[in-house]
Amino acid sequence: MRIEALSLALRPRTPWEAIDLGVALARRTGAALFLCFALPYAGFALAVNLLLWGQPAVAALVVWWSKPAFDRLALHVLAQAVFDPGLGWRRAFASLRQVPRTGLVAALTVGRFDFARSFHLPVAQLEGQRGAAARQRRALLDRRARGAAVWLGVVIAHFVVVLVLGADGLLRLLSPQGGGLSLRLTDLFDASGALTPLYLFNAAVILADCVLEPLYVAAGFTLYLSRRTDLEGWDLEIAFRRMAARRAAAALGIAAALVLAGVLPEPAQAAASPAASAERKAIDAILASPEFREREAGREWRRKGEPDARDPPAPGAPVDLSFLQKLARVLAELARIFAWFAAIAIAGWLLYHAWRRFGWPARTPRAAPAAPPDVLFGLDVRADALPADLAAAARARLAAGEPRAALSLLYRGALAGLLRDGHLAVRAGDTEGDCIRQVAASAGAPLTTYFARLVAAWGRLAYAGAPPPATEAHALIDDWERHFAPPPRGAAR
Amino acid sequence: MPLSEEQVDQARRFVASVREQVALAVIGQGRVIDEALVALIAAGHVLIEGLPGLGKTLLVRALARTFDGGFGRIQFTPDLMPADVVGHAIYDPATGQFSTRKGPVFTNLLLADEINRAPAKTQAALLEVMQEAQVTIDGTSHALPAPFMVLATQNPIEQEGTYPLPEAQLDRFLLKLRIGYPSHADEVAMIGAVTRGRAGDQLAVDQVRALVKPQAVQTLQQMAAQVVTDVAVVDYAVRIVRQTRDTPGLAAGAGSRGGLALVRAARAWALAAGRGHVTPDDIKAVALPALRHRVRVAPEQEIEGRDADSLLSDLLGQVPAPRQ
Repeated sequence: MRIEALSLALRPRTPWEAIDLGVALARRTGAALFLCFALPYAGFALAVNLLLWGQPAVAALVVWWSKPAFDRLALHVLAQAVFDPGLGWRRAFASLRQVPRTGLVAALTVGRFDFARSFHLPVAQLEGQRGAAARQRRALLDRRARGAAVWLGVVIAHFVVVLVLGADGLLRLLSPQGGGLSLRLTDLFDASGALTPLYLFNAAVILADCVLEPLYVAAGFTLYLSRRTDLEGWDLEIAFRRMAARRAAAALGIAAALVLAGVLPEPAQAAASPAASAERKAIDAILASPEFREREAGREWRRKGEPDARDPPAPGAPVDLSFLQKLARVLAELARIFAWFAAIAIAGWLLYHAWRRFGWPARTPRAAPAAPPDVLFGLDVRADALPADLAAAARARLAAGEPRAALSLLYRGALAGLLRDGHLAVRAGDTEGDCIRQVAASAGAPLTTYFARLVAAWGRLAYAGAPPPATEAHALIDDWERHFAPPPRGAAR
Repeated sequence: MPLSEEQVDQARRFVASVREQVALAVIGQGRVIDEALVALIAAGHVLIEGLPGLGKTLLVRALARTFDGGFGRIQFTPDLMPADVVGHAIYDPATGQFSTRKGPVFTNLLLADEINRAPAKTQAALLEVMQEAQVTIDGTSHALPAPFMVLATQNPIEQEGTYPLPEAQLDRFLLKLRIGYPSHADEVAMIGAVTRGRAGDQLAVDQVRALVKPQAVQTLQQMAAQVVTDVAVVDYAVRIVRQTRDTPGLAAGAGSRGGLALVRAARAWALAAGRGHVTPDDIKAVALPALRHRVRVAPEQEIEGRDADSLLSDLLGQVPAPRQ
């Protein structure tokens, strides 16, 4: 192949760029490509549908199955177009008789299910490879580009669907009866149904193929060219050839050949050519020069018994599998990190669900802060702010005609006592009733009853301005002493 | 003028006896009975929500039975018209005059069963009556007998074909009561009471004695109005209502009518508990039924499974109680 005659700019491309190049190539080739594919294909499809009249599903299957044969026409035109940008449709059409038939049987049998069909087609059609050689070649090409080639097929199939659906929509819009294509798969196998929608469906698929199949073949072809450029360094070769032509320097030409031969993998075709042995001799001559024979002696410390990585392995020595150990260590480290993350995630998940289900564990009064609050219900309840003999002070206030002060003292004293004994843990929203319930939960019945009485008396005074009767006030003071007053000094407890 | 202790005690005993009578028929729903009585004492209307078969209608029937006044019942249906509720003027060919036929709202206790089954127009007619306590038929205003109380029921499930009450109309109800399932022991007692020597499945209200005259209820309502409410307690109620407007889980908070309802219901609660003054505990006791229908839960909280009651309970724990 005269790669210097290619009309495409050869350079390393990603598979997607290569596919894009194919679309550009198809557009440039234009009528020559589309007519050369569409006329034979549409004619064949029409003939099949007429021959198998009444069986649209079978006709559709036959047409679909035969499509690889027509792909060859498109590739034949494209292969000429890359060398001849001005290829007209007449010339292209006239050249279709020379389309090679290599591998046609395979393409129409097992090859029909090749998902990278357009990518593999040049191997059979342009390289003329068959059998094991073709398989080997395809495997080499597939190593980097198969994914893109398969996705190309998937994308084109989707575009076919889009065009068919578009045709369906157009028919439904324009048809006065509101008919459309039969897009239900079951209709294809229902002999009793109306045939018109099915044939319209076939026609839509064929028309979509006429537009998209040449693009598919062109994109697969440029993907193939791109892959070969990568494999065989066509771009470098072309660059060197141009340099050689410009400088006309023989030495440089040899160097280019050497570099190509040394750096790049040996191309399949080049290995078979007679020039290869001459190049090999030149390479050997270069490698025999003194520059490649330099020796350097050195000394270094080495632990006894430790093999040097630079030593060639002794014949028969076991293969060094220490990298496996390192790999295992890395994997173990990764697994450890993953296990930690998993453990934290599981613990978080469990906590979250426990919280959702049970709420936070309720704080018991015992778990209340060790230091009781200083102010409660607007009252100073610090022990040192209260008189030493609270009951006596309360009686004195009562005698002085200050029942509110007396009751306030009692109430403060009771709160301080309950806080001290851990019967109370007051939150912002707690009312007097909540406090009574807390006391009832942790203290005995007599203390609860007394506290409820005291709170009721205090509530009447605070919220209704009604002081308790004197007898009730005295009774409250007496009972306060019983419940809260500290035992006399020296008394046995 | 503050109530004397004798008056308060009399009121407490009176309410307790009514409660006892209602509890003979409605077993295991003590809290709901208390709240319904509070609404009656506070001269408010109640919306009762609960699953079918939990005694919503029975509660109202039993309450009406203890009450020696008029009792009317309207079963709300999609084709119910406003005139079916309030009444209408009809031409009498014999006399050649239009005569007024008063609707079922002219009573003391009105059961509006399944209020959300009637269209908005009919609901609005009833809610207007609740607000105004009078009916205008053919240009003439007719005052409703006092006391007048509406007990509307609705079912929280079966939303098919219903007309949910809008927030503005829900606001007219003083309290919204929720009837839940009774406890195991109460359910056993209730089934025993219904099946013993009876053929049908109707819960009998015939053992409930009539205790209350309409005038007595009016007196009770006037007494509730005289229950002392300290400014600190009113402040507490207002702080709770204002907090509903700033709580992130609530999409809409209660209006000022919410605060009014809170204080009115708390006064009745205090009277029923035998106190002539309101304490913060009374406010807290009625906060859920008085506010649950006046707030709207944010959608994300509903997705989390929270309802108005749980959000309001959290809120009550956060609003500092008054410290006297």
